[in-house]
Amino acid sequence: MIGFLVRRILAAIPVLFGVATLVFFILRLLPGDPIALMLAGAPADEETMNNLRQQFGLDQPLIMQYFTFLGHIATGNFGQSFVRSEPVMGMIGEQFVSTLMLTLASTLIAVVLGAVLGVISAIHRNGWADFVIRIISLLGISMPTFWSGILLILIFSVHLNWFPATGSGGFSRLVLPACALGLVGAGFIVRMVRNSMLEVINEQFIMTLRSKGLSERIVMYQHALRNALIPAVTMVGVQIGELLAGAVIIETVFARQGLGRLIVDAIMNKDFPTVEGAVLFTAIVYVVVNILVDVSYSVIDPRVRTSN
Amino acid sequence: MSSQITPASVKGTVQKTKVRHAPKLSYVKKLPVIFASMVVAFTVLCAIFPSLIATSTPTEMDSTALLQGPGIQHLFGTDHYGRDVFSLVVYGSRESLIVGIASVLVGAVIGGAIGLIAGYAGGVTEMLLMRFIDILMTLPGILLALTIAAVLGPSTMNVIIAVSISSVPSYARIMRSQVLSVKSRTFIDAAQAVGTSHTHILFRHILPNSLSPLLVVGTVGVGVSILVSSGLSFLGLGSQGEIPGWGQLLSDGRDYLTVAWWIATFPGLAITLLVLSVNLIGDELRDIFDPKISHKR
Repeated sequence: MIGFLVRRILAAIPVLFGVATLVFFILRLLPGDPIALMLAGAPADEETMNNLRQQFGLDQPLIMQYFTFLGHIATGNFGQSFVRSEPVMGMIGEQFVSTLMLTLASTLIAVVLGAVLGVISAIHRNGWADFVIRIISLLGISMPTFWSGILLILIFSVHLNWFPATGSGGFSRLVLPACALGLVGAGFIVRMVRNSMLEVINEQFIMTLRSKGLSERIVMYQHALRNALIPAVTMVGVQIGELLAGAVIIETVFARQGLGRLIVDAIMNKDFPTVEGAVLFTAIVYVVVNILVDVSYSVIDPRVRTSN
Repeated sequence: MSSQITPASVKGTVQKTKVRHAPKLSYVKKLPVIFASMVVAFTVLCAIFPSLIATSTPTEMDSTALLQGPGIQHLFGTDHYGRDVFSLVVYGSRESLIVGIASVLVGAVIGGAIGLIAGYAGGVTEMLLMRFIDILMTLPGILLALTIAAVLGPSTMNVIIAVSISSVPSYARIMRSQVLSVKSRTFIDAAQAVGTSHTHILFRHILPNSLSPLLVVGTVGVGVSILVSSGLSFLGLGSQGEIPGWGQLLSDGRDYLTVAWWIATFPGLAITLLVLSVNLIGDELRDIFDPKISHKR
C-alpha cells in the first residue's frame, strides 16, 4: 500500500510541473500591462512603474521569471499577489475553506441522491420509475449550474424566504449553492450506478443470494450496490474535480467567497501569481483526490486489497 | 450449466418484469428522442432564420415597455431596456449553436489527431503526447477554458478556441484507445505485410474503423460545449456583440431577479432544453453504435 502511494505521488509530480509551466506561459500571453492595471489608471511616472516592475520581477527576461517561479513553487511559495501585495498561499488558504465546504456538501448530495436513485432505476429497469429517473438525471446534467442556482434563489430565497440568497458563512448560506452543484454530480452518478448495477445484477452471486432467501432489499443495497460502487467511486473522483472548478461559477452566482471567485477576480485583474497559485493548488487537490479514490478501492473491494 | 443452477422463481420474476413493462414503453421510450430532435431542429431554424421566428427586432428598445411580464405581446416579457426577451433568445441561439458545434469540430479534430498519432506510433511519441494530455486533464475544463478565454479576450472566436482546447483530452483518449484496439486486428497486419504505406493504413484502415465512438462522444460534447461557453458568457467572457449570448442575457437578468424573473429564466430554459436534447440524441446514438452498452439497457 505504501509503495503504491509513493509511486502514485511520484508519477503526479511531472504532471503538476507541466501544469505549472502551462499556466505560467498561458498567462504571460495576456495582453495588457499588469502594472498599469494595478495602478488602476492612477497617474504614475515612468520611474514608479519601473520600480514596481522591479519589485515583482517583471523587468527580468521571461525565462528568468520562469525559473524564479519554479524555484518558488518547489519550496511551497506561490509568490506575492500583484494586487493585494500579500503572499498568495495565505490568500488561497483563506478562501479554500469556503470552497472545500461547498465541494464536500455538494459531493454528499450528489453521492447520496445518485446512489439511491441509481439503484432504484436499476431495480426497476425499463419500468416507469427507471424512465422518470433517467430523464431527471439527464436534466441534472443538462442544466447550467448558474441557471439552477438562480432558480433556487428565485424559489427558496425570493418567494419562500427560507434561505439567504447570497453571501458566505453558516449552514443556511451553504444549502442552495451546494444543491445547485450537487444536482449536476447526482445526474452523472445516477447514470454510472445504474449501468454498473445492471452489470452486477446479472452475476451469479446475486442469484445465489436470492436463492438463499435473502430479502431483495439486502441483496440490492448490501451486496449489489457494494459491487457496483467501484466505477461510481471513480466517477466521484472526477466529479470532485469538476465540482471544485464548478465553484468558479457557483461562487459568482451566490456571491460567495472562495477559490473560484479568487481565480476569476485574479484573471480579470491580471494578478499572475494569484492565478498561477490558485490554479496549481486546484490541480494539486484534484490529483490528491484521485489518489485517495484509488486508495478507497481497496476499502470497498477486498479483492483489490489482497491483490496488492 | 448456469441455467440449471438458476432457481426458476428468480428467473420468473426477472422475465415477468420485462414482459409487463416492455410493450407499454416501446413507443413511449422513443418520445424523448422525437422531442429532442424537434427541439434541435427548431433551434437550428432559429439560428438560421431568426427574423422569421422572432416577434420583434431584438435590439429595439421600447422605453414604454420596460420590465413587462410575459404576455401576448411579449411572449417572454421585456428586459430593463424594453427589449423583447423572446426575440433576444431566438437571436441568441445562433451564438450558442455556432460555439457548440464549432468547438466540438475543432476539439475532435485536434484531439482525434493526437489520439490517432499516439495510438499508431506508440513508443516515445505516444508517451510524450499522452503526458501532455494528462497535464491538460489535470486542469478541469471550465478552469482551462476560463484562463484561455481571459488571455485571448472576449469574442466568439476566442470562446471557440478556449472551449475546444479544454475538450481535446477526452477526444484524444477515446481515439487512442480505439486505435489501439483496431491496430491489433488481423487486417492491419495484412495491410502491413503487403507493404501498404503508413499514411494509407492510418487514414484508410484505422481512421474509418475508429470514428464511431468519437461521433458519440462528439454529440454529447456539443452539449458540454454549449454549457461551458454559456458559462464563460455568463462570466462576461463571451462575444461582445450587439445581441447578447444566452449566458450573458441570463447574467444581466440576475440584477432584476426580484422584479423580473423572466429575464434570467427563459435564456436558462433555452440552454437546458437544447443541452438536454443533444444529450438525449447522444444517448440514442450510443445505443446504436455501441451494442455492448445498449444490450444492458
